[in-house]
Amino acid sequence: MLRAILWKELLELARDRRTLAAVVLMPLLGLPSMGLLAGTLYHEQVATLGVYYDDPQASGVAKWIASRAASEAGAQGLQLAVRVQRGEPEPGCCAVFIYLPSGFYSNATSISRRVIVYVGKVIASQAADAAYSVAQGVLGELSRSMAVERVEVLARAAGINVSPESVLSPLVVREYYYKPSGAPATQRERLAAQTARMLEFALIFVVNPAVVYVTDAIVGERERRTLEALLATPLGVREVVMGKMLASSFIGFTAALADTLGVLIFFDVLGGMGAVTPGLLALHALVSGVLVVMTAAIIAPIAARSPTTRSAQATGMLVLGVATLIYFAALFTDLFNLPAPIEAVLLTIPFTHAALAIQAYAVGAMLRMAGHIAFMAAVALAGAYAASRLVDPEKMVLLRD
Amino acid sequence: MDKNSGDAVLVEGLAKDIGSTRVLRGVNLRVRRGEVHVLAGPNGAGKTTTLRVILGLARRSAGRVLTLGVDPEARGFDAVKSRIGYLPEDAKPYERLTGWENLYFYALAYTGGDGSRARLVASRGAEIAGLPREALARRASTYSKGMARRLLLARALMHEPELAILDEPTSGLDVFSALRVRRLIRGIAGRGAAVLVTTHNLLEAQVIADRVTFIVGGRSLCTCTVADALERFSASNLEEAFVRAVGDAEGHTLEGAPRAG
Repeated sequence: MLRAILWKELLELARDRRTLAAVVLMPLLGLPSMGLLAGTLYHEQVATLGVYYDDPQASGVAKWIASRAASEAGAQGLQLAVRVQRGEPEPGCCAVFIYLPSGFYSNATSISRRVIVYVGKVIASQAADAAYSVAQGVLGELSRSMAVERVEVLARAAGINVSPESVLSPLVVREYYYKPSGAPATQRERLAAQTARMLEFALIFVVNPAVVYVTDAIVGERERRTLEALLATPLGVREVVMGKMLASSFIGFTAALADTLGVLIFFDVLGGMGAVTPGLLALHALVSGVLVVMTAAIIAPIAARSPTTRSAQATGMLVLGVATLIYFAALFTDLFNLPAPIEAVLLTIPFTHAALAIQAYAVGAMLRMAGHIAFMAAVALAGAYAASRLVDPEKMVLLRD
Repeated sequence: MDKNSGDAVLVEGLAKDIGSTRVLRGVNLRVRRGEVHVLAGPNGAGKTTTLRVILGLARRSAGRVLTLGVDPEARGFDAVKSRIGYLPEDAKPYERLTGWENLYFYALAYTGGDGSRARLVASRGAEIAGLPREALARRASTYSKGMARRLLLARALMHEPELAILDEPTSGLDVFSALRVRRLIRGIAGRGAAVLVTTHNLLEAQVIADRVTFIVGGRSLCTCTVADALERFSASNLEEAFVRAVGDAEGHTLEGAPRAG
């Protein structure tokens, strides 16, 4: 009997081109668009960097700073307009200014005096932040070259042979990456772990269509005046809800597939910030698929038992909001490495387990990953059971608009 | 069917609360096999709620209900549903499906998903609807109100139900379509099925009804044949009889003025 309702749902869906397009395009283009927009717009920002000097002997250094800043900004793809000018900077002259005051040159060439440089930055400007970062880099480079000269002068005075590096950077850090299990991690694995964060975030695009579609499929029948006659057929309320859940899962799977493709486009085509391994991609597809069924199973009984259409939609949005918060938090947080009370609360939220499964895979904890996926599957089954048991035809028929 | 009474529908002392409001407070109804039974009453009288209880779409608060001999709240009622055809008052077809697909989907539901049987049932539905082949191939969203109503009526009757429950079946139909529907309803009863109809159009009820039950304020007033109703209320037509019956119950005269005393 499920066949009948599934046939109808899929046929209606196939004819609903706008929804279908949204289901595919949103996850497919969501992440790449975010990356593309953020990257493109970031690089389209224009900032001005003014290098000012009072000390006539500092003009050479000022020109060097300007040249290095322009070169560094170019390397980073930033639009930076640099100018060099004698005198003090006027307030608001530029996004960032560097001011070399009187006495700069004599201090810089002294062995015993410190050199003061003033740096100003406009607040609330991403372009100024980027220019400031460039300025700091160039000034750091300048400071280091002064330090090297001073070490060389001191070494000559002391009559010793010493490498400036051994004085200025006595601590040599050699990086070593490993997994929580202790096994060494390759560079690719390290990048994959970073990529996993974005994959967790991308799960938002999978949950969204599942929530929206299953709510509409159940509540929409009532609104479109097709529900009452349907519930009077031998299909029965349970078959109707289960059929809609399955159809919603199909929608979700389509979204999951599109989302996986979107992830691939973001990382491999647009040259994003990580590396997608085939295993990570396969896991993302698997987790997305289970997540979709789980989401549909959570929403179906809620939608069917909601007293009003608006409350069904509001509850759906609430569930979506919780999922969004979890996946947004997963961008910045080790969800598996929080204080026990917080972790306990998060673990009661089924959506957390999708993020945890991906995080576990990224660090090679396969057993933990399997556990999280199994938990999601169990929630999906429990939700489906609840949907088949708790759904009340009277509530569905008497649901108010 | 109730083996003892031969009634397709038996409702005794039906009461129904929705929230804290008692919407039915004593409905008695017997629909016999082979008859067209009209349930007549003003807006808010409880007609649709009574139908919903009979169909198992709403639970009763008190009373006894048997639909084709089975309690609609019993576990086995789902099996009985394939022997019932229901047309809700405000129903609409699936607008993204064609007329034929609308029929076929319900046919699948009535035949337990048997595709070949479903096609036969849907073909019968197409005949009942009387819509041109071209119209059946079009999406239902392009249908006029009358076409949609004919399609829905066909959908409710195509599987030759033993009990047809039709809530305002001619609502929104033009004169010719309404005539066709009335003939159809009489035809179903003629084949031995029970037909329970609600309608506001009591002149229409007079044409199609074998018996009529008046319901007011969630309570059934009386059940009788059309001829008995006319005689009992000294009326020349069913509309007049209805107004007198309701007036008796609510203290109004036929002219609409409150009855003195």
